[in-house]
Amino acid sequence: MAGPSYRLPEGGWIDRSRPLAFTFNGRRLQGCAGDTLASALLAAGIAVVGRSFKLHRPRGVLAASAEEPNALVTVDRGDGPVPLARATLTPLSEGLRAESRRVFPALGFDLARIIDYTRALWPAGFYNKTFKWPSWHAYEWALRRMAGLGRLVPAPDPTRYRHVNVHCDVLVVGAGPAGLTAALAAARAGEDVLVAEQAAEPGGSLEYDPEPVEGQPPREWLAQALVELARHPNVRLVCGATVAGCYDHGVLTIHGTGDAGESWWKVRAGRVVLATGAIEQPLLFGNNDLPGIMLAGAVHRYAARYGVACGRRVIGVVNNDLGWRALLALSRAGVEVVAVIDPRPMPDRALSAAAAERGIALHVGATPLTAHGSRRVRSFDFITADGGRERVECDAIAMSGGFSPTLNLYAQAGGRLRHDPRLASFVPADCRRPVEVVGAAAGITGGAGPIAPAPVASTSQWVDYLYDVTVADVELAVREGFDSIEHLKRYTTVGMGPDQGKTSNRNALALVAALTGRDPGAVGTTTCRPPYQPVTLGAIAGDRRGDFYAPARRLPGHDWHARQGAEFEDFAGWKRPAWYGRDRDAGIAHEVGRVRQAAGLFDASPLGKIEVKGPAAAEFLDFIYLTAVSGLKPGRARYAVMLNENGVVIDDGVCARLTDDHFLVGTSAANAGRVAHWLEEWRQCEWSRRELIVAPVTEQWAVITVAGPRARAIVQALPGMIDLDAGGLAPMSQRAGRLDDGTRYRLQTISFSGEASFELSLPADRAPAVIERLAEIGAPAGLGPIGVEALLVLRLEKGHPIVGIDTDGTTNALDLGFGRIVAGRKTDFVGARSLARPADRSADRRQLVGIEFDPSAAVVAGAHFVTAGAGPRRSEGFVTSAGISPTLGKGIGLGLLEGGHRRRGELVSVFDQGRRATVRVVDRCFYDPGGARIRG
Amino acid sequence: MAEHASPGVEIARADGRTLVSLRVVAAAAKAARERLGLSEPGRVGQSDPCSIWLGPGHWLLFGGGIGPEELIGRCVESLGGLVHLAVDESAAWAVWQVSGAGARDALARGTGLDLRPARFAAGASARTRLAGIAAVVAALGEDRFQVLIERSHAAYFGAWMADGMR
Repeated sequence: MAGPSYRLPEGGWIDRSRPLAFTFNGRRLQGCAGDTLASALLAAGIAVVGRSFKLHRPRGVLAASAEEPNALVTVDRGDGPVPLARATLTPLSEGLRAESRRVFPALGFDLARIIDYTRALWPAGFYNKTFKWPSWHAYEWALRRMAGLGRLVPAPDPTRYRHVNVHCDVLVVGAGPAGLTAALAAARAGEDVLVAEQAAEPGGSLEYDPEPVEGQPPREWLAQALVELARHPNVRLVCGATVAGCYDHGVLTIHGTGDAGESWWKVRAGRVVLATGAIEQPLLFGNNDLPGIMLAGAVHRYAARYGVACGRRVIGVVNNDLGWRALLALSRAGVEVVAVIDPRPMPDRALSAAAAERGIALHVGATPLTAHGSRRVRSFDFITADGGRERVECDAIAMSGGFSPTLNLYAQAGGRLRHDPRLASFVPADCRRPVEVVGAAAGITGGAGPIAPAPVASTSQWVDYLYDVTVADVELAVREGFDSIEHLKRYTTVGMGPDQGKTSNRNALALVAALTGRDPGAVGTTTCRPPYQPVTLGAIAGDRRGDFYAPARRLPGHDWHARQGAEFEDFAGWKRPAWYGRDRDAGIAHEVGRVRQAAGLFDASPLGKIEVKGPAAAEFLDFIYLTAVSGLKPGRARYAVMLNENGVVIDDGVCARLTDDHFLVGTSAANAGRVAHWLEEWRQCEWSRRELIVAPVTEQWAVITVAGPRARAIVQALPGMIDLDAGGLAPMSQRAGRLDDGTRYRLQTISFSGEASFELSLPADRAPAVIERLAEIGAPAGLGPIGVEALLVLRLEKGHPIVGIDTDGTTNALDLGFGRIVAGRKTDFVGARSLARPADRSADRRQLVGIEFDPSAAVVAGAHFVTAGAGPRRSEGFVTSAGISPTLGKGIGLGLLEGGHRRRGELVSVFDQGRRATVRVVDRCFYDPGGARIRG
Repeated sequence: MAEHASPGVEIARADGRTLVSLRVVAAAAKAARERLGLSEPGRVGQSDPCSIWLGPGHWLLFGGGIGPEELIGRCVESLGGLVHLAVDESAAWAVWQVSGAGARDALARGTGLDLRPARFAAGASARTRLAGIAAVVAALGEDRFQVLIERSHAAYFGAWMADGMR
């Protein structure tokens, strides 16, 4: 496959003294420092770099930059394979390993090539047409295997991905002559400038275009520009950085690649300068996808920038003056150009004279027909101006079908495009955001020429190289009515590959315009969406993986719990002890027994705590809560429920009155943040004229609950503790004090477990020491830690629902059985109006009930209550919590059941994944319904 | 105290200072600011008590060597009849000092805040999302920042900062 070197004896910006060894599909090759992978492959004479997506046709390098549709390879620099790398943008490095995609079994002999010979079976939309019998699924597995553009590696990705946030006054996209000029102007004006260049080095067309810039040779101008930019402290030039997207508010994203790993940048720019250049477009003729057929500008660039001849006998097939310029420059760079074929009868006189002078055969007014060859182009057929058919031998074709300004980011920014018939391309019209387009991206003159398919089989003329879309596919789609450019794209997949149609959209558009007799401007373009180029998903994730995937909150007593053997699990963003010890079930049962018989220590620090203060505080909380709290005396607390405007229960907790105008609102752990926002919203939006302050203090206070028959004695033994005598401190009391060591505390006698319970709030930094002391004091009395799982069992035994577990987004206060509270309210409260509507008061709604069942029955949370009787069954609700009570020795649970409140005593069928069971509907409280134990 | 250093960046926990959050009702905000010498919006003040503006009518006060009760007492005394609430938050925050020439870049990994010297000079402060969590960032000097995050996130945040310096 690889012949002798195609490296030119001189020229190019490469360091010939520094050879770099690399492999391609296992084959050892050599390039030079300064090469891209593509230039090194071309220099080594590698014509076939991959197989096409659908038809497995051999494909070679087409382009020299981001638009490359064929040379997409998997690259491994020793830190793991990166699929879909564009060889044209991949700097060569020592030891680099590259693999072509989709080769079976080998690049030179691809069995799947048989698909190409059965091409008629695979028209546009083939999966809707060809593979209908007996079913698409019969073929899917094989087709899936043959498709695909790379292989995923199941091993963990060792690559380091970084996130970067940058602010600048100006973001310049592209470091070619136009971009650098804009950057210099902004830098001189003292602006903060960020220049992003997708290639590994700045320069753009300066790298190969011999045209002087500001009267200077291009390379000298470039060197000077870079020196000046480096002198400005406010300028940052980043290479290997592709601007992937442009969003609202001046936000742009950049995908960075480089030695330090990959990065994902969010740039907030005051204004944007797009110097993104223009992309040369292919011509339509037979077999225009053969290896060796390349864009003329790319052929020139490989010669001038990398000292590589893409062929030893090159012909040009061009339809515009810039194509001629590239061919002339190529010839001057020492590459043998034998002929130029141009469909235009009268190309630029100076250019044709110059070409003739260099001994290039001129065929103007000719009609390109078809290329021949198998793994490399061999010859080209065309019809001369006087009608004769001619063939020229060649080993490379430099083609130019005109230019398409790169305006993806402009369109993403909301910029509108306008078709300029003089330039035969879309150019920027106007943009409501501060986005300026400069250089070739604003429109490039001399690049216009006729665009038409050749008079040969349309199935052999490629529009989209990456997704194997031919002129025939476009014709078929238009015949079938898909003549809107957006429909055409989806039907034929033109432009839908990872290259996003950089070398196919223009030709597809021109074809549709011609086939439907419309002006290209009337056909329009497809919508440009981010990303401009494929982005590694890992780069977007950045460091948000592993331990940093979701920020975890830790309890103040985390280390103590760990020493007690806590098994930590995630509960609403907190790492909390789920149970202690190795055996889950035994641990939970043991902890439940501990609370019922002795005392358990539970870390309730995540409970939300919000202080509400001001002359309007009592009235405000009466409005916020279903349960009025204005009747509380200072030092007393009350269980209270919060509803939203629909009367749906959104949280519950304990509200304590500290002083006349100062309350402490307790929320569930999961809703601490949400309730704080909820109160703040009502305060700011509806109570803004009232004197009221809302202050969340959850983080300040650790909460340690000691519960059980021996809890009172244990807590009382803390030096400095107030008198906890049952006579003086009834359940639902609130006190504050100071321990002997000066630690301030707040104490509430509230119980979730059903036992006498003391909830001690301590400044978070003092909590670890107090936990140690409590554990020490309580150990002789059997005090030990309990986890969240045990508490869930304890509360279930008491029938306490958990909002969000035993309720959902439809469960209102009446469904939970708060009818008497609703009826007793004298003043307005959030949700009151909704609870007056018949539908919200219906007795047929799903209502919360208790259920009992045999411990052997398969009843789990999520199981459905189903209707009785023969015939089809219907769900009447579902079990929300279920478990075996170690205290009671029976199965207990809660559930939302249609008309549940009137069905007490009824036996109901429960269905879960094919298993059935029967449960009895009962009162919700299973344990100590009188509450005698709470009083201790 | 977890401490990390890499070329250009130094990170240190700086807990232990008295922190009191002061909120006043809207009508009293101006009077409170004048009486206590509190900082302007978006600023961290240098007067005594030193304060960071956290929002309209909301400041975080730093006790210069005095305890929370004393600082709260000072607020009550100064604010007299104005409706306000001063609460001890000394244990609610984990405080970090991030300094050095690379401090801005170290923080910019995780926040969209504009930290350019001209936009966020000494004396500037802001609440933001840093590394995916709520944070208060204040510029104390040219390359010196104070970062406050909720205490429960301290272990996560410390690990995240250390990871960025690898």
